[in-house]
Amino acid sequence: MHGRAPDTWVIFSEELRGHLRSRWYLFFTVAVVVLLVVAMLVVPLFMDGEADSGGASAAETDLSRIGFVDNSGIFSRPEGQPGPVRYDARAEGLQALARGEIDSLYVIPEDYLQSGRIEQYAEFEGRFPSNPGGESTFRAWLVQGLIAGKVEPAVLARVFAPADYEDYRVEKDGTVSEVTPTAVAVGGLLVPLLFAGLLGLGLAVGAGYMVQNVAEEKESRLVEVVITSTSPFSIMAGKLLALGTIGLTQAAVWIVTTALTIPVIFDRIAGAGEFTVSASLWATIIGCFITGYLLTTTLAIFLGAVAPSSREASRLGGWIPVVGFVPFWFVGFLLMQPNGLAARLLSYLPITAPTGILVRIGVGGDMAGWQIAASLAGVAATAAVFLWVSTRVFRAAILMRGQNFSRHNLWTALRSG
Amino acid sequence: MNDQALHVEGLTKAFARRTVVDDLSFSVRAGEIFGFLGPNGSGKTTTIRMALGIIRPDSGSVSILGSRSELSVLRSVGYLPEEAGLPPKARVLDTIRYLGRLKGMSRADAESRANELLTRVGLYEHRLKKVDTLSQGMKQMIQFIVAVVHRPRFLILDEPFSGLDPLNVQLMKQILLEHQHAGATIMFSTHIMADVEEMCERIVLIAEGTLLLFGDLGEIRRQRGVKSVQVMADGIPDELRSDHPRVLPENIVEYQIGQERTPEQIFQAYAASGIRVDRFERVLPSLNDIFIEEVSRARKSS
Repeated sequence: MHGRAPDTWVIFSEELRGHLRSRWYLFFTVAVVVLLVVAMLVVPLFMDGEADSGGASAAETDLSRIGFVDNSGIFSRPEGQPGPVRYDARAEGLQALARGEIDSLYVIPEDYLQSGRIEQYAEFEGRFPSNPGGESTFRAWLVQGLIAGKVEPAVLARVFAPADYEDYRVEKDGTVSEVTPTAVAVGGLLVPLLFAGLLGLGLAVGAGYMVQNVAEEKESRLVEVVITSTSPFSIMAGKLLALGTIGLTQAAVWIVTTALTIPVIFDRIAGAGEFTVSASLWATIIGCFITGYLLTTTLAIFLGAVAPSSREASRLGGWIPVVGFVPFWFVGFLLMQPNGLAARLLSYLPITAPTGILVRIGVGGDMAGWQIAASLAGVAATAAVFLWVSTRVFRAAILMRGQNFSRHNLWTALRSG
Repeated sequence: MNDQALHVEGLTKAFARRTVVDDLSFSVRAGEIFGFLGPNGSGKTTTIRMALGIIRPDSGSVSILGSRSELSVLRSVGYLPEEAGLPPKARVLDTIRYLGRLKGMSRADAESRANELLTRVGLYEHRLKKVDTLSQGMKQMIQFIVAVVHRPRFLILDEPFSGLDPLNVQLMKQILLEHQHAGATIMFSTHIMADVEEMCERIVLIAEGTLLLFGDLGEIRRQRGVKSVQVMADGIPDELRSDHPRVLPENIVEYQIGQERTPEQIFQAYAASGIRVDRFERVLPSLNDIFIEEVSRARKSS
């Protein structure tokens, strides 16, 4: 005979088993991991192809697949040098195109210098010409033809690559700092938005499950057995811990997957720099997940308890994901004013703050560490108030099957406990 | 007071100004099987909920297993709610184990006992199924297992036999008797009076939230007096033919007893007629008769 386990632990462990068996939870958790791993494998392939197509040898090959007819007399192709195939007449070029000797034919008119107009002939696949890169490759050859021999080779090289920007950030107080490399910048933008979206989805799935779970326990008379076995606080604490654990496990899996896969993806992007996410951002993400699950779970338990039926609970629970995703509705607006009134409201209002903070950081808003901490403390405090209210009304609400839980009931329950 | 498993005193509860339970007092002795009777809406379930501390009475007191309805005491109580239901998506074994653990059992004990009981009621092969795949009777048996899984000292069952076929009713009664023999007290409500007469030593009958009858079932029946007399004899005395007795199989004749006819008069009539009598039996009113009479009277008076 083993010793008696604390009620909260019993409820926690049994609820956790229920969550872990939820197909939605497993699918959702694994799907994100799979997507990131697939991106890690697929993105470099595209990047490699792009890098190859931009190389010198590739340009040569491309030029040999291009034909042109010069009616302006400006362009000539020195013998023995790589370049497009010259044809004397359009008809001749079109025949070569039809035979597959070239992929595209460009006809330069007599008034080219005045008009800049060039006729482009190519086969089409659907709506698009089937000569990818032909246009830009021929443009580069045109530029070279226009100015070659008239400028220094170094100038010519600079014409093709006129700028390699290095960004510096000027603060309001006049101090100048280096701007983070692309990967770091993308990490700063993409990662918070990614996790805000994942948090919103996680809350929607988890809280939706919890609302239904409580409502079904209420609708069946099982809850009467439960509340003669343990206190409402233990019931709520057990459920809260279970869903919180689920959320944090999910977050941990996603954080680890992101940390492992995104650097691999960015490594393949030339000039992207080293992918880094600051420790403070990871801490913020974890804080948002913890408080977000805390608040949403108490809200879900409350809604499940006061809903007169499981059907009504589904309707009420439908609002929770809406709350989690509200910050995303304003992303366009927040991008323009990341520190404006709306951004501040969404990142400080407890109900929207867990995703609001991440969205605001993602769009480039400034939130000091203490501001984030204060906002998340507000979320935690609101969750504590909801927990207190829910504990008080749980017993009264849970026994009212098929009846609406009125404001009068709420007030009575709050007073009497 | 330890000889009482439950004692309610002056229990009163009103919902929205309607008094559902009104100054109700009764007690259940430790170790007995007790019948809690009343028509639909008479306040039985509300009384049970107050006894279990699920809802608070407006006035009056409850003592269960010698103390107030506190969780430490209620863990020794098994409860089968009326219109019992289980979460439809939960698995049978998980649900029993979960509630067994909440009643203080270890995980291993709860699971082992759940399997034992599921085997006993013939539902072992359904243990991994979801509740919503089971029939109504199966669900009721699962709910019964939930009530007894932790071997409670006191079992409170609200309409335990509803939805069960006769075989399962018999099986449930058998398990209840085993629990009683092991020292448990059992209180159950039902509308089937035959079950009460078969199982219960004492009863309480309430209607409109007020107490109508409380005490020893045999005593209550005896107090109501003889309802009829059944005589197994070779014939009917001429003196009694005007009573238009009911003729039953096996030469049994039943005479209704009233102010104009007493059992003694019937006996003397047979003795005087010289008809051979094999059996002479005074028939007490059935619990069903008493229930109908008492509840009808209560409704008329209210």
